Amino acid sequence: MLSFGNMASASPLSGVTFLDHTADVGLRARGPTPESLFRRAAAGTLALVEGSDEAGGVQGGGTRTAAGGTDGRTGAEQRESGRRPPTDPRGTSRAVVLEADDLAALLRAWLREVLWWHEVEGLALRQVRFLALEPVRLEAEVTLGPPPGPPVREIKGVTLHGLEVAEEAGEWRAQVIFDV
Amino acid sequence: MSRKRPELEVRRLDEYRWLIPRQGRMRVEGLVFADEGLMQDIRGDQALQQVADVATLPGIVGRSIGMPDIHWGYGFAIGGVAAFDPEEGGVISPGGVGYDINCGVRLLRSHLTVDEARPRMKEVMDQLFASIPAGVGRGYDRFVLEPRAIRSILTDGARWAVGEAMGREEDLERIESGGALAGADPEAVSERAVERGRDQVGTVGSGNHFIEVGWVDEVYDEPAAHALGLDAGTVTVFIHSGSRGLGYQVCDDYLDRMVKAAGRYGIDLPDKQLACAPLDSPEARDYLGAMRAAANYAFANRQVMGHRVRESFERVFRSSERDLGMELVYDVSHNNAKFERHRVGDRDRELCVHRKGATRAFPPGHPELGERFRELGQPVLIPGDMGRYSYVLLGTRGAYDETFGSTCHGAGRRMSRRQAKRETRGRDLAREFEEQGIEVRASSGRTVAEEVPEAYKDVADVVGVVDRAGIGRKLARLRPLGVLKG
Repeated sequence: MLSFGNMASASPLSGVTFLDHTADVGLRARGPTPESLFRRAAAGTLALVEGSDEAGGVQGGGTRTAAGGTDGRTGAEQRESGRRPPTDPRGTSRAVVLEADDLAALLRAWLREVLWWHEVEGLALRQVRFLALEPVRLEAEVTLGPPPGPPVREIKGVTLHGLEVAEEAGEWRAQVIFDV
Repeated sequence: MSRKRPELEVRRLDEYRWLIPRQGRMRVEGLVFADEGLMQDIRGDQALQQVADVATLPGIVGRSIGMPDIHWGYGFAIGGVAAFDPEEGGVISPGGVGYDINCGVRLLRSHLTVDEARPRMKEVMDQLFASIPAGVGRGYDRFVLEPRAIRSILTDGARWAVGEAMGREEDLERIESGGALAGADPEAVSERAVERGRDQVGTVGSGNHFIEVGWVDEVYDEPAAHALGLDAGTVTVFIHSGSRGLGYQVCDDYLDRMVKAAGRYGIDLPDKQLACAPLDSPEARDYLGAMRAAANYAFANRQVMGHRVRESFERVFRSSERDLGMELVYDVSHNNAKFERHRVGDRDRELCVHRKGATRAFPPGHPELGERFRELGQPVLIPGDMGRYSYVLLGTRGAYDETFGSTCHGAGRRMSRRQAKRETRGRDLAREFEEQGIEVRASSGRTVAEEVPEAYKDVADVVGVVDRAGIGRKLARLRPLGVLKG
C-alpha cells in the first residue's frame, strides 16, 4: 500500500512548472514515482484553477466590478449555485477507481476527476492515498474539502495534445495541455 | 520530451494566400490566408504544423485551410477548416470541433442611438451583470433545470427557449440552422454532461466569452446594413458563448472513444488530439448525435441570454423590448462539424465540414439561407478584442468556392494568457477602459488582464485580409460601450 502526502502540504507545487501556450495553458510535473507525479499534476491543475500558479496569487489589474470594488472577484461570485450542498469543512473521503489504456490516459482520467470534483461538486482534492497505480488502473482513497476560494480559471478539458508521461533516468515526468 | 519534426515548407501564392505543399504524410495541400504581418505572428507558434497535421487525416478533400486569425490550438489549430468525404473514408474528429461545441456569436440591435445609450451605460452594465451569470463555472442559483428539461434542450435548441417565452418565433429564422441541428441524440450525451448543464443555460462562462454593448460606427454597404437594422449610430449587443460545461464534457467523453477507434480503424495520428473515426462508423454516429445535442444546448444558451439582454434593456430604458427595437440580427456558430454540399473537383459532394474557430459564410442565393438573407448572403459576426472594435461581414461566393463557405471568427490570440497577465501587471485597466468610454463589468480581474486588447491581433487586420481575399465582405464596424466578462 502506498501513501502520499497532504495536498495542502508546505510546497504542493514542488516539481511543477507551468507552460505558456497561445490559446491555452499547460503544466509539466516530475516526481520520483508515478504516484508523486500524479499527486503533483493534480496540485498543479488545482493551482491553475484556483489562480495560485503565479506568484502573488490573483492580480487582476483593478477592473471595476458591479459591486464597485477593484481587482475584484466580488459581485457574480456571490451568486454561488444553490445546487451544491454545504461542505463539511473537515472534508469528505471517498474511494476512486479509474481505468485507461495507458499511463498517460490514466493521468488524463485522474485530472478530469479532480476537475469534476472542483467544478461540479465544489470540492478540492486535499489528500490522496494511492492503493494501486498501474499503467491501466488507479485505485485511491481521496479526501476532498472546500476550496480555498472561488475558481479563477475555467478548464474546459484535459487535452491529448502533447500529453506525455515518461520515465527518464529514474524520474517520472508528465506534460499536460489544458483547454481554457 | 517531444520529438523534433522537420521544418515545414510554406510557399507564398499571392498577397493573402500561403500554400503548404504536400509533404510528409499530407494527403492534401494546406492553404492559409494572411498578409505578411499576420504571417509573422502565425509563424511564431505551431499553427502551420497543425494545418499540415490535419491534412494527413483520411478522406480530407480540397485543402486543409487556415484563416487569418489562426493560432496554435490542440490538434487542430484554432481558425482551421477541413472537409471530409464519407465516400473516401472521411472522418469526424471531436478535436476538430473543439471542447466548446457550437461556441458562437449572437448580435442584437436596437432603435437606440449611441448618444441615447452612452449616458445610461453604467445602469445598463450593472443590470446585465446582475441578470446574467458570468465567470468560471458560473451558473444560476434559481434557474436550475431538471435533467428532463435539459434533454428537451438537446433536441430543440433555441426553440425550447422560445417555447418557454424567452424569445420570439422570428428569432429562429435568424439563427444558423434555425437554432437547432437535426440528428441530435440526447441519449448519446452522458449523465455527467447533463449534470454540468443544469444550471448553465443562459450563462456567459469565462475566458474569451463576453457580452458587449456597442454601436455601429462605420458602415461599408449602407443598403445591406440598413436591411439588417445596422445603420450608423445604432446600439447593438454582441453575445459570445457556447455550450458551457455540457459541451466540454461531451468532447472529453468522446475523445477517449475516438482514440480507441482510430487505433481500431488503422488511422495513424500525428497528434492524439486529432483522434477520429470514419464517418460511417458507430463511434462517429454516436459522437455526431452527442455533438449536435451539445450544439443545440449552445443555441438555447445564447437564446436565453438574448432574452435576458432584452429584459435588462426594458428595465433600464423603461420601455418594451419591441418598442426598443431589440431584434436579433443573426446568431452564428464557429465551432462545429456539419454535412454540407460543396463542389470539389468536377462534382458536388456531401461533405462533413469541420470549422474550429471559423465561421460559416454562405453566399447570396445559397439554399440553406432563409428568405431574409437569400439576397444578402449570410451575416458573419466577428468579435474583436474588448477595447477596439468588432465587425459584421457577409458571406461571399469566394468563400464558397475556396474555403467550403467559411471565413474567420475573431481577432485571434497573439499572446498567451499568462504572458498577457504578466505584461499588464501594475496597470490600472479599469481607468484605461474608462478613459476609452468603455464600462467594464467582470467577475474576475484576472480574466480582464488575460483578455486585454494587446493580447489579440488587430481584428481590422484579420478582417482586411478576409475582405481583400474575397472570403467575406465587410458590412459594418462596431465599437464597444460596455463589456461584461466572466
